[in-house]
Parts: sequence; C-alpha cells; structure tokens
Amino acid sequence: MTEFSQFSLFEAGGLAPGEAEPNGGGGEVAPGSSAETALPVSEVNAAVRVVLEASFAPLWVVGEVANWRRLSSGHCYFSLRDESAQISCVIWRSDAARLPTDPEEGMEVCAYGSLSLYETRGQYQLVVQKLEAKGEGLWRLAFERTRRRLEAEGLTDPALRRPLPALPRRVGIVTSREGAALRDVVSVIRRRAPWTHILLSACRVQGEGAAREICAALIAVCRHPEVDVVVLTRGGGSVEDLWCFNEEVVARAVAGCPVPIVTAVGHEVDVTIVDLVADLRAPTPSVAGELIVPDAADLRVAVRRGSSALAAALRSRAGRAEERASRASERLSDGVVRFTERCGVWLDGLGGRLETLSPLATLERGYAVPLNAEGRVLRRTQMFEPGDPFRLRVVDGEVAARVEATGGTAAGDEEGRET
Amino acid sequence: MSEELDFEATMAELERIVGALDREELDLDEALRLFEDGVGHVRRANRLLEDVRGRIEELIEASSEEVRTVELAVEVSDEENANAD
Repeated sequence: MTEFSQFSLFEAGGLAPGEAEPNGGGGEVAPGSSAETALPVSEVNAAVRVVLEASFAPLWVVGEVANWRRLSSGHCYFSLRDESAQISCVIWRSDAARLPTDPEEGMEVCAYGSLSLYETRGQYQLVVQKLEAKGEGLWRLAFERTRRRLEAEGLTDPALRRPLPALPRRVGIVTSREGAALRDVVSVIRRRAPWTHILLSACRVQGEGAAREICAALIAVCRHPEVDVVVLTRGGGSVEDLWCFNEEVVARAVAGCPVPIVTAVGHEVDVTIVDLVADLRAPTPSVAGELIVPDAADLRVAVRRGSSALAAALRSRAGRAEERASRASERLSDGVVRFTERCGVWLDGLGGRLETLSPLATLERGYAVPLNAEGRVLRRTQMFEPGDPFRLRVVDGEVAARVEATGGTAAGDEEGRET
Repeated sequence: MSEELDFEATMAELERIVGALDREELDLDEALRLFEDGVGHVRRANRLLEDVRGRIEELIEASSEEVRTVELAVEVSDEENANAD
C-alpha cells in the first residue's frame, strides 16, 4: 500500500525520488514527496480545496436535477448530471430559503455557484447560490404546486367570490406607503367617489419577510369596523419582486379576509396566486380603484333617473285618479239618468195609485165633505151644532153652509166612513 | 358623517317609493305624501354626492388590538394623469 502510494506520488508529482533527496537536503523537502513526509488525508483535502476554490471563479452549470433532498436543517443536496457525468451540489439554508420551490427530479436547471471540496469525504461539489429552471420554470412550478394545494381545498372555487359593495364607505388598501400603486388607487377613488374614506395598511411588498407583513397588514385593516372592501395591490416588477403574492401564507390570508377583497398585483399579464383566491382580480391598481367605487357622474345620472321616475310615477298616479274621476262621473251621470227614469216610472205608478185614493174621485162622484173653520172633517152628527157655520167641500170648490138641525142617522155614519 | 353612508339607502327608498306609486292603489293624499318624501330623497342623494369628502388615513400600530389611524397625505395625480393611466 505504502509502496504503491509512493509510486503514485512519484508519478503524479514528476519528481524523481533520487533527485529529491539531494536537492531537498539543502532546505525544502516537498511534503508528501516521500513516505517520510507523507501528508495526512485532511491536509491533502484542505490543500485541494484551496486549489479548487482559487482556480475557478463562480460559474453557471447546466444539467438535470437528481436525488434532490431538503434536510430538516434547511440545506439542500442534489446532483447535477448530463448523459455521462455528474456533480454533487449543495445549497445552504439561507440560499435554499429563497427558492420558490424544490425542483422536480430530472428538471433541467442552471445552477450558479462555486466549486469546492467537501473535505470530510474528499468529494468535490458545487456550492449553489442560485438555481433557475429554464424560463421561469421553477417559479411556474412553485405557482402550480401552490395552486393545486389551494384548489384541492376548494379555496379557488369561483362560487366563493363575494360581490363587492356597490358603494363602499371605507376602502382598506394594503400596499407599500411609497409605491405608485397607492397613488394610483387613491387618485382614482378621489376622482370617482371623493366621499369615500381610505385607510392604508402599509407593508413591504417585496423581499424577505414581505409575505408576513402583507398578512399582518391585511388582518389589521379588516379590524377597522367600517372597512367594507379591501384592495391588495402592488405595481409591476420582476417575478421575484412579485413573488410574495404567490406565497401560500398570503393566499390563505386573502382567502380568509372577512370583507370582499380585490387584488391588483403587477401588470395586466401578471397573474399571482392571490388573484386566484381573491373576490376579484384587477389587472392594474388603477382599474382596482375603478372596480371598487362607482363614478359620481353615474350616480348623479341614477339620481336624475330616480327623480324622473318619481315624477312620472306621480303623473301616472294623478292620471289614473283623473281617469277614475271621469269614469266615476260618467257612471254618476248615467246613474242619475237611470234614477230619474226609474223615479218617473215610480211616480207614474204612484200617481195612478194616489188617484184611486184621492177624495177628489169620490167628490167627482157627487159626494161632499163638511169641514169646520179649522179644516177638520165633520164626521159625526154630534160634531154639528145647530146654527154653526161650516164649509162643504165639493169637487170643484167649497160652499159655505150652516147647520139647521142635527139628528143621528145611519146615513151620517156611512158618509163619515166614506171620508 | 353618517350621512354619506346613506346614499344607497336613500336611493333604495326612492326606488321603493317610485314602485309604490307605480303599483299600489294609494289614495291621492297618500300618493302625494309619498311623492314629497321622494323629492326629499332626491335632494338628499344629490347633497350626499356634492358635499362629503372622505378622509385618507393610515393604520398605525397594526399589532395592537385597537384600531388607531393618522391622517395620511397622498400625492394624488391630477385628472389628466389619472385618465392617462
């Protein structure tokens, strides 16, 4: 073993052992040039590591991912390989935390990092700082994975979308204090519905920790009792800039928002995970403003319409009343005519009957009625006093008369009954 | 303050009145009374659109349970810019 090692070193170093001895005698003896100066393994590995790290500037390596493992420590281990070779790779925890998601087995990626040596095992490796899939593959993959999880829970169900209030009294805005998105939303709301109150719940909208801040800002703004709609917004940016809006924790906060929420993240083409769980997605912050509040001009039109409808309703009501009155008056006059006609008929009949009852008919037949001065009919003989004047009513007038004498007769009774 | 909350309610009431005038057989006095109410609602709705100006505030101390706000100055872009957006 020792012999073999010595031979190998000799061959590799190109040193002739015979030469080494005399030259080295004067001073330096190359370490490892003989069995006597053999180097410990750890020193060799340390030396190789120095050489390796010094010889290569950080570089991009392309290959397929194999055996990806994310350990509980947070570090990730995998291999990059092509048809004929492979390199061991590691991503330390701090860099691994920035990955949107773990790559899939066999996924073609580009890894940027430094070559180094894992001394414990004498294995050289690429210490990866950045890992990118082709195009936006890794982001896309992370997006799809989160989307599938949320979908499986039913959180992206369109049936969960709530309608926005027609006329919000206070709009909660979750965004950065400095961003253009805030200015855009506020400008539009001010222009369209200046009476609307606006409550900003500020947070960072990119970078590490932004996701947590967004969640906290969202929860806080909903605690205000008068906030009846929330807009979560941010201006345009790179996929990385917008990434916090793709994080599951933010999506869950959006899905759990107690009041209707509108998302407007990035530009029109940027669809983020939060858009999938929001009640409404606006393509830009300005459009979000337009979707949230009505235009005062439209409302004025609505008021004018209401006012016209009111006037029309009263006019039509008055018209109906008039119509009814005229119908009633028609019916009334018809009624009067019919009534008078009926009265006529009745009166005619009544007249006939009256005629038969009238004493005039009797008088016509030649009877006369004696009346005293007060006009009372004198029916009985005892009502007459000899010498008293009385009137005798006959058919065509009266005759003055005087009682000569009285005497009870049946005929007098008869006559009195006739009257 | 509470007035601006009522625009919707005001319009809904106006709508109800118009509907009642249209559909229900009210006596004329009742109809006139409703109409006057309706005119009041129209005035009110117009006033709500003209007068009130909302506040712009920022939520502070998001961590605490109570809600506290401060006035916030936001540089609002003018009409042209807003339209150009």
